[in-house]
Amino acid sequence: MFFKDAEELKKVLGGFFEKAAADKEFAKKFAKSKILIRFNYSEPEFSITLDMTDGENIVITYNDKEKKPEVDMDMKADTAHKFWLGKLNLTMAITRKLMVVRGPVPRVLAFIPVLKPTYQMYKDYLKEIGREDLIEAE
Amino acid sequence: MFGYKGKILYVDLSSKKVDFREIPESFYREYLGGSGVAAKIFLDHYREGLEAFSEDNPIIIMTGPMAGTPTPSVSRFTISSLSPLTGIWGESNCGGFFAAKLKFAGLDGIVITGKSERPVYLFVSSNSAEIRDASKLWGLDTYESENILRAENGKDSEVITIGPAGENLVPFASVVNRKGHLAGRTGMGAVFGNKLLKAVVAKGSESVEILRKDEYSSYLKEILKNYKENPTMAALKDAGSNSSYDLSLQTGDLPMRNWSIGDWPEGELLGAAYYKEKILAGVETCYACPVACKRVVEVKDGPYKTEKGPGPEFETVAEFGAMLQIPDLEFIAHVNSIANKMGFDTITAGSTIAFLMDMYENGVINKDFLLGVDLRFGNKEAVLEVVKNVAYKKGIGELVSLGSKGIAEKVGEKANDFVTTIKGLEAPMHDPRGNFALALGYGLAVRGACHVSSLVFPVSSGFMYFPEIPELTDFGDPLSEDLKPQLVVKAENFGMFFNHSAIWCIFGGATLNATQAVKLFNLVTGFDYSLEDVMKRGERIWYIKRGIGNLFGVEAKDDRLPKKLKTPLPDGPTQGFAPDDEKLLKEYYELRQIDPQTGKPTKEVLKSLGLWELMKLLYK
Repeated sequence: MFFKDAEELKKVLGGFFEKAAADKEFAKKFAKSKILIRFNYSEPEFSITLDMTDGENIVITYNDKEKKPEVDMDMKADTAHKFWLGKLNLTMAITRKLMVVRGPVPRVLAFIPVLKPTYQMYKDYLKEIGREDLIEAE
Repeated sequence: MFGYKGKILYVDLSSKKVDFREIPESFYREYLGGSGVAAKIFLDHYREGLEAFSEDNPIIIMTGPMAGTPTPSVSRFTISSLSPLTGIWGESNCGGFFAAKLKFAGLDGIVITGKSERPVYLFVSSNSAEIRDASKLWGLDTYESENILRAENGKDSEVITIGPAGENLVPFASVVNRKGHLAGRTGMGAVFGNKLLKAVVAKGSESVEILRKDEYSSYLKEILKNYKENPTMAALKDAGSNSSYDLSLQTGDLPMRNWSIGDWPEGELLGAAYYKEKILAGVETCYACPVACKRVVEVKDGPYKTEKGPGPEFETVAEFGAMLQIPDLEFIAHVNSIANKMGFDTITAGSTIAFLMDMYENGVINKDFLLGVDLRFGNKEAVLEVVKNVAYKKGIGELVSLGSKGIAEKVGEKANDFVTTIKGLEAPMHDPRGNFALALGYGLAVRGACHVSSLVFPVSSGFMYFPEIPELTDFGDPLSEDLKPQLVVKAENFGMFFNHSAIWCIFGGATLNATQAVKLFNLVTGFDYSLEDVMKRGERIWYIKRGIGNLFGVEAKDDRLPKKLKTPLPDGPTQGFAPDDEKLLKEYYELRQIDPQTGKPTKEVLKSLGLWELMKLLYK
């Protein structure tokens, strides 16, 4: 496991989403989808909700039981980490149920064209927070 | 007999004789259906010196046992023959509605030999067949031909027809059903054209018998539930085969600029969202398929105005977009419409144009060679001039109609740095530099470079999953040679059953695992085969096809990737990577017991599989 507990996961993945959300230009591209999506992680248990329903901003909440997501994505935290590093075959992960999409799949696929810069952003963020160890982790 | 109709129609266009032959169940138990059956029939027709345009080169149209049943994504047919493009075994399979109708006409398949003296079409219905005059159809495009034949024979008839490309013997001419379902590759349309056979029309209403009807019906409900829940099916339903474009672009799967670059920012303009926004006008499906991945498009005005009709698939978008560096979906829709009407393969056409562009921009050929056309990457008008003329072999169209292999022979040795064929067939739009399994998948594909000649591509790229077959489950890092030969052998053996003999669509079939596929096959046919039984028969079929290749000159040297496909890219997601095909082949040949010099299966392996007849031909 790359993340020993939910706190570490929040710091790394949550922190990354917050950094991305703070970049208004980037957030606008992502939020164009107007989607409310929740990532449900296991090992460790944790969830991150991205609310982009205003079409402009990414509003992030953690372990949020109030908001009703249009799409839920369930995966291990390690799977998510590999995905943002660009080391995961997304098609294979979905086919083999390493990532389970609950809700309309095409809404998730619509993100693919804007994902390209995020892999480098994630690596840069890991360096920024002193977690280079996670970049090469297998 | 269940599933099968137990009958194949033999037609000799020279003598105008038709003969309905009863086929015993024991034959189908060994060769299963589709191109498995076709390979055996072809081998029976083999003679030394046979050429694609010989009168006795058979056209073998075959369905699978489940065509015409409600089983999703499997009512398909294959057309097999000696290919005029490659000179070796050619085959192409196709969805649409023709396969089901052929079964309803009481036939599993049709074998056509001989050559007519004048243009004809073949009409088949329950236990009858007629060779009819097609003089008035000759010269018409596939849309016109389809319209007239359905008007004449009733809307409940199904038509496969060639267009001007087939008539004019363009070696990559295709055969078309309902304007947008193509048996596209290896030039089967030209074999039709050479025999002066414009079309085949099927009509009938005989049902296809299913052995265990009740169990089948309840199992089918379960399977259809899978279709509703499967994310790949959702993606295909939403955006067709081009739903994979954006990922393909991002992961280094998509070849660009004749396989020369790894990054192309304008490429984003060809993705799924743009397809919907710019050209989408509706959706279509194939017989009994709940996925409905076929797109209908329209360009209402502008220079590339295109009437509402079948839209470009991923391969066409990739070829005329990324390969030719044209980020314009309206243009691609227009080109696709011309190719469908003329009846030719957009993969070979696009790759051949890209090959010429690359040689032109690198000074290997000049404008005179291109008959004055400035065929540079991105030049839409030049591409359009080719596309409009290729079927008629006029001007630069005549040059392109040779295909890459034919042009490379004209250019000489310098072309080897730019050509992208294996065994004469242009590689499709998936790059082995990001998926080393594909190096073998392409190299060993029996019809030449192909991503659907086995299950190597669908499995290694991740959209198919067969957890019952260990080699197709754990095959390591995509950028390593390890475990890939084992993957390829099993993907070929299972593929010969799955998408070649049963003829499951690689899109719609992607929702099934191996157990489900074999169970559906058994419930329909009553064969009660295990997965192992099916794999064994798939293995035999693969060796027959490989052996046919050897009979027409395929050697081990022909299993290598062309230089372009194994030269590391200077940029992009797979920058610096390339498969070592020598390493892959060494292990593969050992597993397959193929002689690493001659490329022939050894006598021992042929004996062990009971392929005596093939052994005698290969080792006489």
